[in-house]
Parts: sequence; C-alpha cells; structure tokens
Amino acid sequence: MKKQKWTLSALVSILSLSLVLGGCAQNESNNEGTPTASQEPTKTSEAQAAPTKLEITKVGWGTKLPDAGNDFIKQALDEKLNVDITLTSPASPDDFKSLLNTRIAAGDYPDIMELDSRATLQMLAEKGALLDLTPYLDRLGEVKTMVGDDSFKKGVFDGKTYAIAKTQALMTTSYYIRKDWLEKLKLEVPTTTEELLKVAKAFTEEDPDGNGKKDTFGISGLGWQAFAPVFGSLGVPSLDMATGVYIKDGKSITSPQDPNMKAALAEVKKFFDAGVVDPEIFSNKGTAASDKGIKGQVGIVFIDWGAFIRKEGAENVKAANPNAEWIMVPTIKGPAGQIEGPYDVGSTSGLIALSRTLEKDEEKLQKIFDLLNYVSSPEGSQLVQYGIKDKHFTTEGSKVKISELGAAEAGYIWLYQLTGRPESEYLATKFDYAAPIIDQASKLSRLNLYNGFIDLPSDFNAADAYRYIGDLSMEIVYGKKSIDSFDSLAGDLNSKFNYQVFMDQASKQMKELGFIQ
Amino acid sequence: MSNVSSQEQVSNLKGTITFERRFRFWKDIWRSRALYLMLLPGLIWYVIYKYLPMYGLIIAFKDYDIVGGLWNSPWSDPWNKYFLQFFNSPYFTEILGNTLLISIYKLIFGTLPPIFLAILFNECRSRWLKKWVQTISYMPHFLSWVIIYGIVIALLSETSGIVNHLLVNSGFKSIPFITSTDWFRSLLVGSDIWQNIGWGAIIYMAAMASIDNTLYEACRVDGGGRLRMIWHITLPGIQTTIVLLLILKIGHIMEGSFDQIYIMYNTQVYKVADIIDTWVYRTGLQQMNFSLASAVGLFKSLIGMILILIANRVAKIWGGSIW
Amino acid sequence: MVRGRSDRIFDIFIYVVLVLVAISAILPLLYVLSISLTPYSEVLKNGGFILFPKSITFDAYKELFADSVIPKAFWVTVFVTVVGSFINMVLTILMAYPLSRRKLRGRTFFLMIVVFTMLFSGGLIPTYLVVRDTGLMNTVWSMIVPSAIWTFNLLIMKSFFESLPEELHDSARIDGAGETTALIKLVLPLSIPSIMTVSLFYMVGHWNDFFSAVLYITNKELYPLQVIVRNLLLESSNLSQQTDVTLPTVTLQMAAVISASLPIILVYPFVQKHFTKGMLIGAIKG
Repeated sequence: MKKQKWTLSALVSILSLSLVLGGCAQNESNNEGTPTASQEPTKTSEAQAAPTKLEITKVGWGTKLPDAGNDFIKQALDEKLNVDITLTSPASPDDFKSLLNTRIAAGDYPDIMELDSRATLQMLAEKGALLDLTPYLDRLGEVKTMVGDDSFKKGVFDGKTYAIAKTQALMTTSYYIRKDWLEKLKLEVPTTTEELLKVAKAFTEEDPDGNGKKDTFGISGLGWQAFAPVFGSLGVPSLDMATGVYIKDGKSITSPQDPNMKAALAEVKKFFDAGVVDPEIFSNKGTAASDKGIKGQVGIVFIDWGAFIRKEGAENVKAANPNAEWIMVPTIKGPAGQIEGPYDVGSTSGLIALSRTLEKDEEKLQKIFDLLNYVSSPEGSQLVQYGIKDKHFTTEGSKVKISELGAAEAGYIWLYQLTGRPESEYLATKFDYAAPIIDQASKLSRLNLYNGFIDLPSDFNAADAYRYIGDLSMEIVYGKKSIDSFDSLAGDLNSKFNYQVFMDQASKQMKELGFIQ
Repeated sequence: MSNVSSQEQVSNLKGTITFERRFRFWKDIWRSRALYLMLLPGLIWYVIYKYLPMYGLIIAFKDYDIVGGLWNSPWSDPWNKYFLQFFNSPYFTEILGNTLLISIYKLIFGTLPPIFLAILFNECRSRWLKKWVQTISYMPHFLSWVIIYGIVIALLSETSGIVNHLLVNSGFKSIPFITSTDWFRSLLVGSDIWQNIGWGAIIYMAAMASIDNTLYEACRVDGGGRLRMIWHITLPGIQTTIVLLLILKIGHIMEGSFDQIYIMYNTQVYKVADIIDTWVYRTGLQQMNFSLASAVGLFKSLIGMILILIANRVAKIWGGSIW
Repeated sequence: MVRGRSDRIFDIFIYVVLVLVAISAILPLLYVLSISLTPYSEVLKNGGFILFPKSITFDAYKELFADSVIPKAFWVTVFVTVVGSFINMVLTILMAYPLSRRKLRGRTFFLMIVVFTMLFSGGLIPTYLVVRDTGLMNTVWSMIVPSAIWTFNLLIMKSFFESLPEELHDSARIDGAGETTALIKLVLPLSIPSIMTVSLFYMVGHWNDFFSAVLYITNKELYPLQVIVRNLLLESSNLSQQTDVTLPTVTLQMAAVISASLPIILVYPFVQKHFTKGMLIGAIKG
C-alpha cells in the first residue's frame, strides 16, 4: 500500500513539475525579449534611450523572413530610428485573420496592422479597435506625398480616417498569344471578338504544334477572367466580379442589372460552343493556366505579365519549347467598347492601420509616424525597395541598378514596404527587360469598379449571390440552360438573395464618396 | 425479520438499505481511490483547457464585438439570428445534403479497406513484404491536400493528366474527373481512401496484436482454415475497435472534410461538393463573421452529439460502445 | 504442417494485393520525390509528369537548408514531438486506465464529459485567453500543454485496456497488488502494441501541427517545421498583385515536403515491430 501511494504521488508530481517547467520556460523566453515582454533596458549606449519596440503584423504570403541577425532591413531601420521592429507575417489571409482576431479579442494589439481588405477594416473600425488617424494626418507628410490623397480616402470609415492605403499595384493582366503558332497558321494578332474566336478555333483544330494530334486548345485563364476583354467589348465587367459596382450614364449600377450583360454572355458562349476553351478553365488554380501555356497546350492565355515575360517564366517557356514565343495582345474591339477588363479602384494592396491602444502612448506613436514617414521618404523608400545602398544596389543619377547580391538577398524586403512603392518606377528598375510590356499592359483601358469602397450590408449574403450568378452563367455557356434564362437573374437575386439592400448600399456610399451625384 | 410486516418496519428496512447503499457507494469510491487519483490530472486538464473556454459558445447568440470581447458583445436580435442566416440560405438543403452524402460515402467505402488491409498484413507470411508494404502504404498520410491535389491533377486532369492521356491514346473519350459533377464525389472518396488506407490499418493491426494466440492454436487443432480463423477469431478480436471507430466517425458526420474539399473543389462542382464548412468559410470567415461560424458549429455539434448518443446505444448490442 | 492448395492460392492473393497497394501508394510519392530532384524546366518539358528523373539536382535541398531557419525549426519540432508525446502518453494512460474499469463509479459521467469536448469547443478566442493566462504564450509549451490529451486517442487507449481479460484484475487483486502496481506491472506490459500505436498517433499529430504555432508563437526562433513548410506550399493564386515576389518553385515545394515528412515516416518501422500476431498474451500466459 505504501509503495502504491509513493508511485501515485510521483506521477502527480511529474505532472505538476511539467506544468511548473512550462511556467519557468515562459519567464525565461520573456526575458530574452519577445514583443509582448515589458521593455527592459538593453545594452545600447547610455546616452541613447532604449529602442522602442514595434510590432508589425501583415500577411506574408509565405515569404521567408531571415532571422533577426540576417535581416538587414530590420537592422537598418532599427538603427536609423532607434526602434526594435518585430514583423509577424502569417502566410495566408486566413492565418492572419485568426491571429488578428484572437490577439485583439485578448487585448494584445499589434502596433501596426496591414489589413488585407476593406471588410477587415470595416469590422475593426466599427468596433473601435483602430486608432482614428484624422487628427494626426498632418504628421504623416511624407506618407501623403507617397501614396496620394485618394489612398487616404480608401481608409475612411464613418467619416473618419482609420487607415492609409498603400500605393496601388499596377493592373497588368491581358491576353498573351503564341506568336509562332500564329505565324505557322498564317494568322494575324486578333483585334476583334470575331477574330479572337477565329484564331482560337484555328489553334484548336489546325494542329498549331504540328504533332499530328488534336491536343491543343484556344483559350485558357482563371475562370471568367479569361474572357474579361470579351465582356469588356460590351462594356461590362467579367463575371469573376459577379456583383461589380460601376458607373453607367452617371448612375451607380451593378453588373447583374446591366442589360449588356446578357449580350456579353452570349458572346462568351460562342467560344464554349466552338469547343475552343480549356475544359478546365473554371478549375484552374494558381499557376495552372500559365503552366498549360508553357507546356504548349493552349495558344491564348489571359494572365499577368509575369507568367511568360518575367525571367523565370520566359526561361520555362524556352526550356519546354525553344521555338515558343509569347506576345501581348492589345485590347480587342467590340460593339460597345474596348476594355481589357474590370479594375477595382477601391481595392488596395494593403491598408495600414494602427492600434487604438497607441492613443495614450505619444512616444511610441511618434516612432511609428517616424517609421511610416521614413519608408515613404526617398531614402527610406529606396532601402525597402532595393536594400542597402552600394551593397544591394547602386545609383547612377536617378537610375537605380540592382547588384547581384541585391537580386539574391532582397527577395523578402517587400515585407517592409509599409506604405507601398512607386510602382511603375520600381517594376521598371527591377524588371528593366520587361519595362515596355509592363508599361503597355498597365495603360490598357479598364472599367473602373468601386466594390472596394462598398461595405457589405449584414443582411445580404454576398457569397450565396455570387454562387447563384456563377452557377446560372456557367449552365448557360455550357448549354444546359438557354441564354434567355439570364433575363430572370435580377428578379431572382432580389427575391431570393435580398439583392436590393446591396444595390441601395452601393449607390448610397457612391454618393457619399462623391463618385456620383 | 422477514415475518414482520408492519409498515414501520418496512420503512426502517428501506432506510437501512439506502444507508447501506450509500455506505457501499462511499466504500467503493474509497476502495478505488487510486483510480480516481489517476483520473485527476486528466480531469483538471479537461477543465482548464476544454471547459473553461466553453463559454465561447455564447458567441453564437451574440453580435460578436471583437473589442468588447465575448462578455460585452450585445445579444443578437432575434436570439437565433445567425442560425436563421444559415437555415434561410437558398443553399441550405443542398449543402446539408452534400455534407451528409460525402461523409456517408466515406463512412461506407472508407471503413472496410483499412480493415481488409490489416487482415492481409496479419495473414502475410513474408515478413519482408509485410514490413515494406506497411511502411509504404502509410506514407501518403503525410502528404497535405495541396500536394495530393497536385498529384490528382497530374494523374486525372482532362487536359494534361496521365490517365486521360492513356484513355485518349487508346481511342476512348477523355473523362472530366475534376470538373464533372458525376465524378467529383468519387474523386473525394477515392483520394481519401488512398491517403488513409495504410494509416487506418495501423489501429487494427494493434488490435490484432492483442488477440490471444491460443485461440488460433485451438482453431488450427480443430482443422479450421485460414478464412475460418479470420472470420471466427480475427474479426471478433477487432470488433470493439471497429465499432468504436464507427461511433466516432458517425459523430463527425456533419464535419465533412474542409481541407480536402476546399483545396480540390471548383465553381463547376459546387452543386455536389459545397459542404457546410466551405459555405461557412465563403460566407462568414472571409468577412470575419464569427458569430455565424459559431452558430453553425453549434448546430453541427448538437447533431453530432445526438448521433453519438444513438450510435453508442446501438453499439451496446455488439460491444465497443464508449460507455 | 502441410499447406493445402487453397492455402497457397490465399497466399498468392495476399501477395498480389499487397504489391498493388504498395505500387498505388508509391508511384505518386515517387512523383513527388522526382520533382524535388529535377530542375523545374525539365519538369515542364515533360508535360509536368516525371517518375524517374533523367538529370538529378539537389539545388532545391541546398536552397532549403541554405540558412539556419529550417534546421532550427527542425529541432523545435523534434522537442515538441518527443516531450509532447511523452506528456500525452502519461496523461492519457493515467486517464484511460480508470475509465477502462467497468466497475468504476461515475465512469459514464466521466466518459460523457470527455466525449462532449470532442464535439463542442469554445472556439479560438477563449482558448487563446486560457493559453495566455496560464503563461504559455510564446513558449514551446503552448504547442504541448493545450493539446496534452486528445480525446480520440484517449478513447482508443481506453478501448484497448478494456479488451484485456477481466481475470487479469482479479488475479492482481488476489496477489494483493494495488491498482497502480497492476497498471504498471501487468497492464502496461500487455499493452505494448496499443501504447506504441497511440504514441505514434500523438507523435504524428505533434509533427504535423502548425496552427498552435501560428496563434501562440510570435518569436520566430520557436517556429516549428510545419509552419515553414506550409508557407512554401500556400496557393499562390492571390499573389498576382505582388509581381516581384519570387514564388517557391514546385521543385522547392516538393523538396520541403520530402524533408519535412521523411523523419517522421522513419519512426513507423520501430512501431510496427510490435504488431506481431498474438505475441504478447501468448508469451505471458505461457
């Protein structure tokens, strides 16, 4: 019996020991300086105050951040501004939201948050988690110069500025076509919808790769987006923006209401009827579409410039087939316009917001403004775009040249581009060989959408409505339903999905923001 | 005592019995105090890490306020607002049906293969083959769905998959495995079986390892063949494990498997593949609507709990019930 | 012993099926391995499908192990897996054993409590608060303590203990052994296969866990392997905005998958040694 008790107490004490150990280990690591730990004086020179700890949270998209010892941007910023930056960058927007949600609910606010979408901003601002930046805007001079007035507008919620939108990325998607295939079949680059269909047919049926098999397709891309210029030729946004909000005849309109939508869908259906579309167009994910282009299975792909033109992509194209050559197709013409695709002017590459807990910490707030202004200033901006001067890049006059080391080491530093970057200049420097194409692609005419400004009403389920529109349209192009069934769409949306609420919200906010009268 | 029959004495007797019962109850507990002490650390853990956070369930009935936290969030109006949002979706019946169907298919077609494989391992006379095949068949479990989807595309894609390549070259029509509503569920179930057959067999192998060897000896003496031994000894030996796993699977029938479907589905197969969790993800989580996610979760849990209670009751007939 | 003809046929049947299972499992894995060893351009030239690489390059692996991030993460994962599984097993066995005793008063109640948590959970936020308030934030223990018991594994363990013959406990009682002695001296030695199995489940679970690290760890020194591998595997479709982000190539992704799963796969042969038919009870009774 005695023995039994002894064993038992041993087991219990092992357990409690492990719990205690847990506690101890926690204390130790706190002392080593985690972001939540209290500020302890470090071994900096006595004259200088202890560096202010700042935590930045943003979606990292899987970019591998080096450890603090090798993170030259962190070191440079820390030294310059006497701060101690910790960057927490969960890989996906989902991870980011889980993290943000738990941290804020628990009161552990990160200092600087780069929000991924307007919806996140809406939720946080509504509940008062964010610092109202309105009184501080004049202290963000450099930032304003960098991002422009419109970017401040995107962060407005309920009349107050809660966030600063980063500079917008360029929209560069367009059709790319196999030039060598065109030459082989003696065809010209298509300029109208009819010609596009003709070329796509030829690519499907006339064996452009000359292997004697009918194993190629005309058009590929990621879903409806692949037909953006066809939709655009009738003046409507493609269906991947199923509830796109835009201005027509001075009024706000959403895509299901536009009478041209049906005509556009009928035009797209012609491609499906002709059998020239990649059968997996709606299931292509990630790089599936461009991979098919590289493998020589398809001759026209609607995609970003990077896929075939960027060095890595171009190398893959040549490796798979040395004769292959991809060129950009200028926007095709149609009965009602010449538009490459929709472009959400309200969307952002990220919204920089600050924790409301900073309100009382004037000193820390100043450090944050210093940081934001610095990365927006010419000097700081160069640092976060290209790395350390004369190490990762050199300058000749105003032209920047990236060194080999810069190309090798600076893959992660975009994470520190908190307020964005001068986009065209940056791309032209980084991808000098592709500058003309990027320039051309970014100047194609696009249809401005305003969805990024519109807050979704809580009694409207956008996901269900999207699905309804998508399902119906897909059934139409695949011939399972007649094109006339599209007529009832607007009515169905109202009766089943409460769509009116969304339309009202859209026109209300469009008016408030001064986009329409 | 038995020949006295006045009421008083009966009640006295009852009192004695209750007292004795009570006494025996405490005596039993005292006698098994070692067992209760063993239970204690685990119970404390359950209370701290599972039951303390349980108050989070109320968020299903509240308009969640991220800053105010759970307690300060206002009650939603009406109280079942988020449940209604789910029930009133035009897709409610469809996603519920898909969730149940996919789970049931997996239950029906996914339960037997690992058992079958475990029996074959058990009967395999070549130790060398057994060892290697076991290790190999367990490896797919370590591939995430992203990778498996990559493999599926490489094999089954209509345009570039090996299988369709072979089909077309031998004069058949290609099959749209990934985009066809006819094939998609089979694809889900098939890839699930492929991923888990070796992994699932492990637990049955462990169960078989504890079957008393003398039973086999006795059967052999009786001249029983191997099939008979499998039927009369091996299968009954792992019966409780099979039943236990079935009960647990039935309890999770509403879960679907979000990771797999989210990575593999596409807009063309929503009709057959959209399950509760993918719907919640598209509707709620992308807009940070945690109350909706929580309400739907609570609904799923309730159904799951009821199913477990029923399954457990039924399982008592065969043994292997949880309690 | 003379083997009958049907016996032979049965053996052949087993061999054929097992070989088929092995092939169906290994071909896709071979594909993953081959891609990790082939330059990406080569992969594309072959239409994206390669089983036996023509030219082998270890570039992807070199890139993966170029800095200290992955080796560091590897040791974090090993620590969490080993220490975590040990704590898991101690707690699980301590709890499963009493719950396996049918005579235990309140057994149904305790089991209900346990099963309830399989279906109902308070969600991320309250759990986060408890983890924080018990002082685990930003420590390796945040990946261990909140998952100290997995109810599924507990029920499996309990079920295995139940399947031991009831006479075992009677004989223990006659010998005057207490419950603790019975557990350690009699029950545990007889339960080696199930203990190995449940340990394996725990180890694999810890090895593959990334979510607790995403939530509870901000100190990058403490990131486990799976967080880093997962980052490499993310679907890249949303990246079109960041045109200058260099995407991990498929080759690198596959190399990461291989490096991250090989160590844990190698654990299995040590477990399966213990799955010999009827070995234990026979040995003890004999």
